[in-house]
Amino acid sequence: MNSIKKHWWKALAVVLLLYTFAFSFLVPLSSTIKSASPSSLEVGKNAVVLIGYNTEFEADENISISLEYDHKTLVCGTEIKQINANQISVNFNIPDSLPSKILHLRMSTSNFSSFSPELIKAFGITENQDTSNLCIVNAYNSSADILDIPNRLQLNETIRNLMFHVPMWFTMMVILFISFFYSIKYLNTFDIKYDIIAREAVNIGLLFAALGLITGSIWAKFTWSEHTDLFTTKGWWVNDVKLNGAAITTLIYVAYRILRNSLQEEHQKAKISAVYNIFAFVLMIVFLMILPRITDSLHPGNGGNPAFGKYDLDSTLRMVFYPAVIGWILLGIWMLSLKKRFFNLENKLEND
Amino acid sequence: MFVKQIVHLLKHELLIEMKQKHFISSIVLYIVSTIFVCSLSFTTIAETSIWNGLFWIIILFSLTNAISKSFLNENSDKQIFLYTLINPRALILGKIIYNLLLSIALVLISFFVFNFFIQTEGLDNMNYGLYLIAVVLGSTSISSTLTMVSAIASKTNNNIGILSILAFPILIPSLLLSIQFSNLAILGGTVEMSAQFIVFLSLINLLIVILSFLLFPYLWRE
Amino acid sequence: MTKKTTLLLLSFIAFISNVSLAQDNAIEQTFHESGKINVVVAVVMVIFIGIIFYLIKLEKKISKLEKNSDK
Repeated sequence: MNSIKKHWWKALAVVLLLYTFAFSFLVPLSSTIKSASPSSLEVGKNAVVLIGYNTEFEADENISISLEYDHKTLVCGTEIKQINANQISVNFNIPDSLPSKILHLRMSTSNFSSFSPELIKAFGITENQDTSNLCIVNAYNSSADILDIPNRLQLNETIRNLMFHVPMWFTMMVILFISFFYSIKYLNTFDIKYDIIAREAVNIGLLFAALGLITGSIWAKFTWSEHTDLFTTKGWWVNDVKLNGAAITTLIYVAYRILRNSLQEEHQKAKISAVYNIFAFVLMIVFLMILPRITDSLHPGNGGNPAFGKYDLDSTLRMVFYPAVIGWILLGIWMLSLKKRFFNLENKLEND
Repeated sequence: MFVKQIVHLLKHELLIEMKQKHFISSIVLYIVSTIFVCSLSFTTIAETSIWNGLFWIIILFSLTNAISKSFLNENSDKQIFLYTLINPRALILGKIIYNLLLSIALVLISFFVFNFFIQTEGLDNMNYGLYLIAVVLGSTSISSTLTMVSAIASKTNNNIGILSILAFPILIPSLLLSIQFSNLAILGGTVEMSAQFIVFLSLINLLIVILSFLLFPYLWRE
Repeated sequence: MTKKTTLLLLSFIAFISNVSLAQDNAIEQTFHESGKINVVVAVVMVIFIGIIFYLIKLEKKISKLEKNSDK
């Protein structure tokens, strides 16, 4: 009974992380249209091949494809022909005048319905409100109850990294807050065991910072490097607010380690590094809050982000993202408590 | 009593400065020669934002050099005698105010020298009043952070090296704010347009002073 | 700990910049094919290696303590 009281949160960490792993590896990505060739249409008849991802076009009778704008169907696809599971050919007959030049591709099959904005562009048409020659599409009811992860432009499968890369930063911040808290506690009591926790929390925090930096760098390289006119990046480092904030945090705590190493006497070491820890942590939090307000970011939820501007967590992702964050944070605290117990034991043995 | 101590401390610092003229003149010489080296390599900078960034980097390094010495003399007997009589909180406030005055003087000198040696086009629209506000607010946050961190760094052997390692990461964000703010002033911005910069920088400055005020006694109580 | 972490980070950066200079196309292709699933694999592997790294450090410390306590 006692051991359950003491260790329940570790079990919770394991359960939450198992759930995270199972969800992020087992749940498929939603079916969607990846690309169209040719992607630019002209007035007249256009034969287009659409390439899907995770689709099952073969032997599907109920496929309808149309180009639309603002929920109004502009052009219906005709002569729909399945090539294989992921490819389908369709004809668009573009009239010389349409209500809008912007075309969004809508597709519905018996398995899914997808809506891809800005996949296809049309040239040579004039804008005209006359809608007499438009077709009427009969949309099929697709079963929308399938559990899947949204498939977003450029992200594709890498959206699963949301459960691994992002919680690293959450964990780091929580662990660093613990360090800050115990530094204050040390200055109030001058008890060396609080300093041990503060020091080891910084070490664990730096480990998570390193993991966050490396995973973020890998993820950014293969998603942001190919898109956007605003930020063109070819390298492993993107000049982005969140990244700069992370780099500043890492620099501050590496400096903390160096400060500790350059002091000799144990209590002086503890006291001075605690002062620096408090000073730096408070300023860092303020800066991390202010900086995104004055600059743009590629990350979701910040300004100036064309590809992910519409991106927000949908309910499916939220269902696993929050448990993932809590699970990783508990794992970090577990790692910290092991270190703490180790150093307490070492202190005890030395004093004997 | 508290204010009296601060005033007394400021007088004392000024007196020392007057006695040791070589210190202030060496810092001014440092600034002038840095700017001169820059002018040899650039002479004209077409882009005003690069010109402005270079100016702030020079300010950062010269202030680091100037303020790193603020806690160096504390170990001499005379200083210890003085400091035992004084409240540590008054001491840090006095040091911050003194360093603030020193750094504003140094920044103004370096602005004139910089403007003299390195030319740039596109300063026609510059709002000088706003630029002055940016420079004062920016150098306040740089000098007060450096004062507190130099108190920390003075406990180690390698004072200036540790000082820059500890202070630069904390300084990067307020430096970024000041650079953006002064860029806006160069482009002819108004006070209303830069209200958020003024608010953020003042808040940061206030926070730094409060933190130093709270934490400094722990450094002092040896 | 920090020294090693920094070293790890630096060597990682050096490694990938070398690789990406030498054979940009081959590496990028592996990561881009089949919906970039390999990016996820790489990310999970990095985190796993990080946790293993922590375990190894802890084990080294514990064996040192064991040796000392025997004396």
